[in-house]
Amino acid sequence: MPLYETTVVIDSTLEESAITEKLQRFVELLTQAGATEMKQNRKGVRKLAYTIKGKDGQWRVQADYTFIFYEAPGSAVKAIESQLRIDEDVLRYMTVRYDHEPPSYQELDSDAVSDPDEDVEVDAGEERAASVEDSEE
Amino acid sequence: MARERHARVKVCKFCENKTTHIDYKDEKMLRRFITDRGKIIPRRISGVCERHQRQLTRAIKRARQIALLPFVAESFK
Repeated sequence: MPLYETTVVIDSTLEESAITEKLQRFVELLTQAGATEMKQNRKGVRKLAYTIKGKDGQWRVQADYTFIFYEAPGSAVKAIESQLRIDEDVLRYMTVRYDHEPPSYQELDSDAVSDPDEDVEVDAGEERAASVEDSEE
Repeated sequence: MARERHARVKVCKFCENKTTHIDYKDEKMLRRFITDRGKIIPRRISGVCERHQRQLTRAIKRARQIALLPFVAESFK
């Protein structure tokens, strides 16, 4: 089965619990669709390179980034993307196919999330990102 | 004499580091290969080899889609 990586950019004005819940739902959906070897890499709140309009019509300058890496049949991608498309709190999503596991994930196996470029984070997100790091270790 | 200005030997940064995969999530690294405006720097200037430039271009375009990199940026903020 092919390897995929889905990036989910969620509106950071949402409550932390709501975001986690949402992600949980997407992961469950993938599992149901036959995804295995799931690796979830939550980066937390990051600054957007350009502003994106949220559902309330306000422009967002930051958002919550999550990368989900998995091995699944193509139908799983279809399933999750249709959900992501519907969800108004998902500002952006993108699925990329891999032929081989990229080195960044091989490293991730050994030591959780230890990115040197964490300082891209905006003030409000720092606390949250730190807590995520702890939980994944 | 202007004509005798010796050309700097440019070596591909990725070949030097033996990079096999250019990650679109590595925003900081990719930023080195775009201009202030957000344009991709041509390889005749950056010195990146053909193979890696192709990978790099793809990575930058992916990063733009998920708002990690700008499509166009103001040169002065």
